[in-house]
Amino acid sequence: MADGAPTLQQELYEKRQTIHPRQVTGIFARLRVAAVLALLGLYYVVPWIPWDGRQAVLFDLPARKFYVFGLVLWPQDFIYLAGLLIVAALSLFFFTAIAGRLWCGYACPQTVWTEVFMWIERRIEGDRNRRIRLDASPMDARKFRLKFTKHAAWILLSLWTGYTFVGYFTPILELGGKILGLSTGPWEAFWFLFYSFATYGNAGWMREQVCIYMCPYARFQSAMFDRNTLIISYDGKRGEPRGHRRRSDDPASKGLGSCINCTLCVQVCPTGIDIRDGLQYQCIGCAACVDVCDQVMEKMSYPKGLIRYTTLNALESGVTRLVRPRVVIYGAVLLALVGLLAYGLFQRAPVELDIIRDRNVLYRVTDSGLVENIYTLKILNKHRDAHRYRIEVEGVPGIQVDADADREIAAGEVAEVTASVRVDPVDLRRPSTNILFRITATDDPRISNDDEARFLKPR
Amino acid sequence: MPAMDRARIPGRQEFIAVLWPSFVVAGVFAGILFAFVDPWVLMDEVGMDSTSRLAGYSLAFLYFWAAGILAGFFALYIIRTPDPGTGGDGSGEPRG
Repeated sequence: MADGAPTLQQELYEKRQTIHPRQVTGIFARLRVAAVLALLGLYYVVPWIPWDGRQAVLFDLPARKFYVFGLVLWPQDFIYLAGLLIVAALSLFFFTAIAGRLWCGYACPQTVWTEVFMWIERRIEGDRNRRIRLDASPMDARKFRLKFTKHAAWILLSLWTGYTFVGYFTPILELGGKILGLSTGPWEAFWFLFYSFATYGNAGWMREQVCIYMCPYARFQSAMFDRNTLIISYDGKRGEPRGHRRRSDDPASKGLGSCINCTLCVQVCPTGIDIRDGLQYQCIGCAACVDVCDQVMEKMSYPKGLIRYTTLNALESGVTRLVRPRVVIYGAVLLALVGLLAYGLFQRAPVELDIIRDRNVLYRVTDSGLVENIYTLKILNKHRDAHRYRIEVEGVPGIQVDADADREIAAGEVAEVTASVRVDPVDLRRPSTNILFRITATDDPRISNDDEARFLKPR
Repeated sequence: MPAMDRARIPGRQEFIAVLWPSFVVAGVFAGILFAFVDPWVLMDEVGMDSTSRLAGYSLAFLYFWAAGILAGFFALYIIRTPDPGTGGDGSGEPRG
């Protein structure tokens, strides 16, 4: 398979030169570390937060209830999840239009986990040059020990990641005991290993290949770009012609631009591109080249920013327009959706009511001459406490309802209640009249809902 | 990679190009399905022991995934327009 240099290996997608990014320091590297710590911190910590005697965030699939702190969501609330996903997608569009691939550079799980995996790699195998030498050297005891330690550390972290992932869906503490005792259910074990393996594969082995070959966002993000979008760019006007020189040399007198052609920007790039060739779809906007180039510029006593966050318009004419139709439209739709979602969630009825007419008997005339219709009420108590519900009907004067609802409905329970409704036929003008059922919790009038039904009378 | 190899067996990148998108789509479809249907009801319907909902979710997900994979490979196969004058089996070999 390897028919060239020892570092050339047949990878999943193409013959790929393993990329050994050099470590970067600087403002954007610090920002990314902060983002990694915050996001992974959240990911690993959130399932351990208790709330009201349960896990604060638990997507309890077996019980079909999603707990998010004080909020309990039921399968019927799927619309909110869908809404949330749409909001997330729109935010991505919005931020991409303004600031390019911020998501890729700082927040994407692929970036975040790869960053941690590379940190482990660096701690064990050393920085770029040592890693390149190690990979090129033949296998011996030392190389084996280093590789073994690295993969062991990666696998441990992956397993913990998989455990945490499943811990969002089944109570994490119990799950820990079950994993240690090897007594998990087959599907818990499957997802635990699956997610662990995916983490290990994606952050350890695939890395930039995920961004370049697998990520759909990387393919369509350019559709959100325009000439005012923030990108990472090399200032060719200032940098060229590039070339080596001594610190004391005056570049102008030698006919050189600011780029000293040290290739550090290429060495730090996690996707192995040369930013000086212009904007490329492989660029994940991590700004590692910005950090490293700024350090070089500082050493050379040149102004910083030869590679910088800028826009095509700024590079050409010095003017960037932040407010433009694309941004306004994305922003407006995003705001409207967030508002709708918040309103919906706030207005969400804690109880649901469905009325089903008895299909066998349309109506019945009682001994006292009243017309009777029978209905089945399906009451879903979405509130976190059990409640007793009072059932009322309106729509016709003197309407009476008789329902066997004199019991508590547990949290999350769907109760079927039969209700018979009676009306004096003199009050009914048409053969079919709309009536309104309303249920109200006996201990809290705010927990209430209603539903329409039809009342039929003999013709 | 020579074109003829590509035509005969799916390369590793083609495997991933099929596995990965069908994985995502399967996740979405399993999510939508179970927003409306309780896996117990579904498992009852197909005559399975409905002991664990997790099994129901997982099996349905794998089922969707399998469907996506199948459709993906079907598409891969069909998209290889046979050259005129070849066997039409996508192998690039002459007919006969």
